Amino acid sequence: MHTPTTESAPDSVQRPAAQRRIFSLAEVAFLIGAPLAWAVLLWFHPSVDRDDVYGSLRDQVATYQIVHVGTLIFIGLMGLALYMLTRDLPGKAARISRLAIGPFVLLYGAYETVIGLATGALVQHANDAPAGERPVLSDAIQSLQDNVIVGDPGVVATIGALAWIAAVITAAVAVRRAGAPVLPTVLLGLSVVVISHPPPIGPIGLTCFAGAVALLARSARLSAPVSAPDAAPFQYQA
Amino acid sequence: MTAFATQTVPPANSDEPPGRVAGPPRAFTSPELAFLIGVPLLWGILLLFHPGGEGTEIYLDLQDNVTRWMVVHVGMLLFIPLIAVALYVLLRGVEGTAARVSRIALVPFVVFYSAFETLQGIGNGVLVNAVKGLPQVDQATRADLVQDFAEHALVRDLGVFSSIGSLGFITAAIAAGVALRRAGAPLTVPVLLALSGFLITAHPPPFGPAGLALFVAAVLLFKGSQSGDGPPASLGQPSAA
Repeated sequence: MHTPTTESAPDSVQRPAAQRRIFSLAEVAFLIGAPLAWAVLLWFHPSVDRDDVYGSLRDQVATYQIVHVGTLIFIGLMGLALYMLTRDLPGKAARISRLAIGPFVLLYGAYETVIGLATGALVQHANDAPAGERPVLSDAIQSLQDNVIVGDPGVVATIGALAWIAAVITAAVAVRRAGAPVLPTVLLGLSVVVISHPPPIGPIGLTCFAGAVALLARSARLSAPVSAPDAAPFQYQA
Repeated sequence: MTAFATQTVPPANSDEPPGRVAGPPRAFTSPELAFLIGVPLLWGILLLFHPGGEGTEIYLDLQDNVTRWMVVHVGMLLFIPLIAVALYVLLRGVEGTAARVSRIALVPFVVFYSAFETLQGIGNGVLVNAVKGLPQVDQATRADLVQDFAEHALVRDLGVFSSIGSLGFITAAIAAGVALRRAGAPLTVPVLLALSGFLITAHPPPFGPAGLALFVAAVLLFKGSQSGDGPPASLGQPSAA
């Protein structure tokens, strides 16, 4: 077992093995695959006119619902991915990041559930209703969208989005302090834009996240010695 | 200055046989115990205020109870992850397949049961409030809209989200009971935890509060077995209790 490094990390600040950050290949695949898969899904997110939600969605309600059921799952997976990224990192920034993941998953997930799935279910109902009832149903859908608690923007969405911003920025700080190069740090920071998830912004933010992880993994491989060809995992080493 | 490096570092407990307890689960600290008891207790109290109804006339049941309905379900949105954390804390230091299954099952519980609660609880409440504010909509259309929404395949009781989320918690509770039993807990603990899993997921009173009370009882019994018999873990072997 060896611990090659590319930088001048003094031995005195190296952490013991038990605290080191290690990712297996499967973990790296998850950390890159989850955001990329979500980004692909989000390309199918229908664009919605905030002033005419029913009119925007009535012909693409199935797509809207599929995207948001998937999004619900991916919100949880992104929370897990960010947790894995900062899980063993020391310091206040990493701790804040880990703490912020909970409110993000909970509240952004709740917001997505209502705005995505509840709206989809109501649009489906309106489509099945007699034509004469549709204007009032459209008003009801619009009221849901404008609700101060779960609407867009509403209290739940705002807190959930702020939690993601806090989690990502502090994760970038923590990763940088653990020795990550500048580029992946910046890319990770840029993934804050995921809170505006429809395309193109959401997929771009998720690609930044995946790119940051890929660069971190590449950085680790570059620092691996030739004598360790099977050393697939990478780690931060302080 | 720090750097990335590659190497395989074996897990600290790699010499432990699978399915065994890595060591005696340490006793809970006072804050942990307060959390493990306080969360289900508070949630149980909150659920006592859950408005009733058969679920066949949701608009009529809720139109005069929206605020109460919303308070209970916004609170539930917080208590769902907290009870998952409580189960996670209960299993702290316990290793083995059952403990791992329990921890993994908490994820679908939190994701899908929260989604179910958000839609059936908060979504319904917001919708009832929204249609109440539309004077041009007649009563029958309002009731029809709310009922249709509440019976949507994703939203309804025993719908997609509810079923996956409930199965997640029931699995987590049963597996936690098995894991604790292997760590030396008395037989009552897994029985109470399993019952609590079924009751908590059917959350309106009396089921939810009863299930949460059983959860508290299981925690206290496990705590008692820890302090009464010393370190309870015999490397995964069930105790004689």
